[in-house]
Amino acid sequence: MIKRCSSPFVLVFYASEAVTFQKIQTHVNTPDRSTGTLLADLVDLGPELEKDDAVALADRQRRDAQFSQSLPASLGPLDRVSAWLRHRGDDSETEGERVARGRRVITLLLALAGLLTGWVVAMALFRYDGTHPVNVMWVLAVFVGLQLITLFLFLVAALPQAASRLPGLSGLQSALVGLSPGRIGLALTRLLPAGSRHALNAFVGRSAKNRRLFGGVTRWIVLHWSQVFALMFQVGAIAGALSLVVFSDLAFGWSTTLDLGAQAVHRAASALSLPWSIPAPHAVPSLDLVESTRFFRLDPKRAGDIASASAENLTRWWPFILLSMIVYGLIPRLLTLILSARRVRSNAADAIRFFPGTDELLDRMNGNIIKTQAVEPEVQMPKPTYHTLGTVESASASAAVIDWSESGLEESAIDQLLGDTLGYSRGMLQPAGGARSLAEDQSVIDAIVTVKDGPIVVIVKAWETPMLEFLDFLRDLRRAVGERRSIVVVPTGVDNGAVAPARDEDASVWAERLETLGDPWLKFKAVAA
Amino acid sequence: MKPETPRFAVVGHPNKGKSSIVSTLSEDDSVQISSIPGTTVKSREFPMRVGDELLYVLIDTPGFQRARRALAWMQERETDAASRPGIVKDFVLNFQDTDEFQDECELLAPLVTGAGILYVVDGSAPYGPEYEAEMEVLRWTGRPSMALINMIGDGDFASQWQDALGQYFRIVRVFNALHEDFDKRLELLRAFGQLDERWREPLERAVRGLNSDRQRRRDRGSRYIAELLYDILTISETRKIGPLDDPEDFKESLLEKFKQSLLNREAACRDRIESLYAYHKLERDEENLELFDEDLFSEQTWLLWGLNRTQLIATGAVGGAAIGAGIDLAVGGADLMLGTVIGTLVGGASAVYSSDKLAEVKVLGLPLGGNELKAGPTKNINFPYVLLGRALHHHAVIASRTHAQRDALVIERDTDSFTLRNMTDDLRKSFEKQFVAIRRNSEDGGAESATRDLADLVRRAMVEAESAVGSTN
Ligand SMILES: Nc1nc2c(ncn2[C@@H]2O[C@H](COP(=O)(O)OP(=O)(O)OP(=O)(O)O)[C@@H](O)[C@H]2O)c(=O)[nH]1
Ligand SMILES: [Mg+2]
Repeated sequence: MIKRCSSPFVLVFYASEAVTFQKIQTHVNTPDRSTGTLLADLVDLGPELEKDDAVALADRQRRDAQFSQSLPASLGPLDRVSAWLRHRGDDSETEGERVARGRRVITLLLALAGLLTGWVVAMALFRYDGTHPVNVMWVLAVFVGLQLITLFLFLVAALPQAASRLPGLSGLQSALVGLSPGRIGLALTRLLPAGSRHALNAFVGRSAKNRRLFGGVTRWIVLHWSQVFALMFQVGAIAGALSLVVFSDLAFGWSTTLDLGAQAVHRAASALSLPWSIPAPHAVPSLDLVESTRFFRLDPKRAGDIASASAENLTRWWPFILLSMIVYGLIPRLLTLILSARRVRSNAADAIRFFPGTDELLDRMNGNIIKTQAVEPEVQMPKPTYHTLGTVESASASAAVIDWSESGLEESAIDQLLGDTLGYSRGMLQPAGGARSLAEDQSVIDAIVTVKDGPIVVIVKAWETPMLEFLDFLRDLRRAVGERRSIVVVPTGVDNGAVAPARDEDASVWAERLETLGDPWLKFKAVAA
Repeated sequence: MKPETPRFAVVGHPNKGKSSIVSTLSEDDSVQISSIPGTTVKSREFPMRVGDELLYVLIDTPGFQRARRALAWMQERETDAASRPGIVKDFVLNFQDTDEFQDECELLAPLVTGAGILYVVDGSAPYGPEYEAEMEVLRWTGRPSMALINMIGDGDFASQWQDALGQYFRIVRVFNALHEDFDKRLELLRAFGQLDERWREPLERAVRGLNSDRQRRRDRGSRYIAELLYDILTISETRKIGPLDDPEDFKESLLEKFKQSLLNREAACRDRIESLYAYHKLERDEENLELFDEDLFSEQTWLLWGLNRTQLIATGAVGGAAIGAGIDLAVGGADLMLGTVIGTLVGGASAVYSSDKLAEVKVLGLPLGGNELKAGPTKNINFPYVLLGRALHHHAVIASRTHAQRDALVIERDTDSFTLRNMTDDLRKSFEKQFVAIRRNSEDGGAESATRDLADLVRRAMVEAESAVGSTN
């Protein structure tokens, strides 16, 4: 309902917010997005990204890239983020929208307060009871002087680069931000409904935790509020003054205890009128006018004279006063209001753009990224069943030996391996595997079968992988020699034709592989250190 | 010639690092790698895309299990050399759905549909005749091929392998799956392009894409580190206490909380950098990391990661000189030199003595009674440098890691290899200026442009560190 409110003064600051500018001092282009949407996006972005962490990256990539295709290609990064956020939410009011609404309401309250104060102050200063004329000095002091002083303070608070050169200025700046009427805005949050109040307070509270992202926005929101107040103060004052001018008769004069001659005052007034001296020469007080309207409080007679002097003479002051109020109070304020509104926007835009996670989100939405990863998940191998292997009995026996795949051990080394590791002596020695054909392997098996008993030792290179081909061979061998006959697989290291210990990890790879065969007379013994 | 998407199947014996190579080249840490042979049971594709454009596909495959048997089947059907590729195709068709040649079919299928061969062996173990059958099968496919000698263990049989592989493959290269640096990886991709005239162009483009992606990552990494620095210079913790509470009771816990939020911020930056480099399943050595975190506030760490004494004095002088310049301005430049001299002395001295002080807890009165305690922001001169040093080190570790490395990430707690000691004075001064401005909340143009300027400096520090590491190699 606030949004649709259209009284003229509300229009003033909405107009100021709606004006779009080329990027001046802003790093992220802020197109015609309302400050409210930007703030809402900034607040909602964090929680939404956090929620999104639960979704697998590949899914996020697919989803966001797909969503992005439904958006016009010309959309800038901020609009993409915004569209993404809106696409995710339902229709209920988000935390961010509550913040934006809270800020809007407070802006409106401050505008009203400013207007009212300006009006009341004008009524007080332009009070004319028929005895003493309205003192032009006072009017100018409040509606021009005060405005110019606060304007100067605003500029000090607003210009960060000045601070690095002047000691102590940054302290002064924060004090100024702290003192600015915009702070009233923070106090006014009390008047908000609970939802907006909490949201807005939480938002302001974040600037201490993360000054980089939220410091600028918060600071400018406060400064913007003070501009709203100051501008509407002046609007109220002008309206009040005008209404008095129109609906009552006023008499203006000037009075000061200072030793100022009429000429000095005239010079000052002329200087003030310089901006409008050409288009509106009537609004420049003449020396004549200045001289004839000086009065002294202690000299009621003269004051009464002035009051009763020609009305025309007296009222000639008012165009000057009115233009002073407009030129020195209203117009600069309008400019600072626009400036501060724009800074709120650009700071919010920067904060969204550089929010942790925005980069990644934009990457996902923007197809132009490099992807090298697999698309499908990896197929898992079902665990095979393992059977325990038989234990090697340490009886001395003569063993038939198969040297699998060219171990490179010399015969003496093989003898030594049999003795040291198993306590066996060597019977037949047959090479198999390697580059031999399957038929050759079969003839090795045929030869082994001719030896009727004793264990069969298969020497393998421990560092090589046990392959299915080898397991095939073991199965064929078992089939040929029948059950109960010991077949002992011995993984060994080889060092220049001599036996070397097998590495433990290699030995366990072999053992594990053999355990899948389910052969109870199959045994295993790796060469140990 | 008509362009075609190059596809490469990484094949070989089981357990020779096929998946490791794929994982490294595709920067995918979801690939299963283990010392148990037969880990990979199905072929898996790793498409390389720049935007919507597919530039090449890498295929991880299971290893050969029955190469001799397969070759025997094929040899039985051979009529002449020209018939061989067709026979391999027949083989795949024939055994596709059987148990016997499951692995062979998985690995041959991409080859018979046009993929190039990347044959992987382990050059740290000796060559053996059992490799001949599989190399022969690969030759039968008639596909363009390259052999890669991966060095898994400590042995070195590379030249033996060169000789054997040379008889089957035109190109033989040594490539370390786990530790090859970025440039070597790109070089390998480029070499893939040499296998077929039609593949050269897409692979060149892929290499260009990856190269610019590396720049992007460095830029972003710098940006993330800059954000970290900005944040740790500006964050604070506050706590409201009642009018009757003794502030002393709360100071310590608030300071603890402040430290914790600094640590959290540092950890968040590490996370971002890791996911920037596509590490999602990175295991961290938690214990090591905890110690690393604890160390953040120890004097030793500061000595190690931060600036050294001389640098600190000089740095304090930079910060102080800025203050001094302020004094000059304030007194209207009357004794311009004097101001700077005082600033230098004051700043220089405090730089050395403040290294044990991270932050103070201030007690601020509240208008409605009670107090607000505020810990931070830190005023310590060395602290941002300590974090900068650690962050740069972490970035370097992540950037030079490969996705095939599956050991827990260890961030060294005491290393001489990567500190800020070698930072040029010029760069350090630029950092200090920026830090001072941020601390005073007086950055030109606000937080965003300050962060950007800082990111440029971090980027420069990265380059400096890289060239320092490069020259010691
Ligand atoms: N030190 C070192 N280890 C490596 C290297 N390459 C592979 N490995 C290790 O070798 C083992 C096997 O690696 P994988 O990549 O799984 O081998 P693979 O060829 O895919 O194995 P399968 O899928 O079982 O056929 C793992 O333990 C790896 O860590 C390397 O270059 N250096
Ligand atoms: Mg594998």
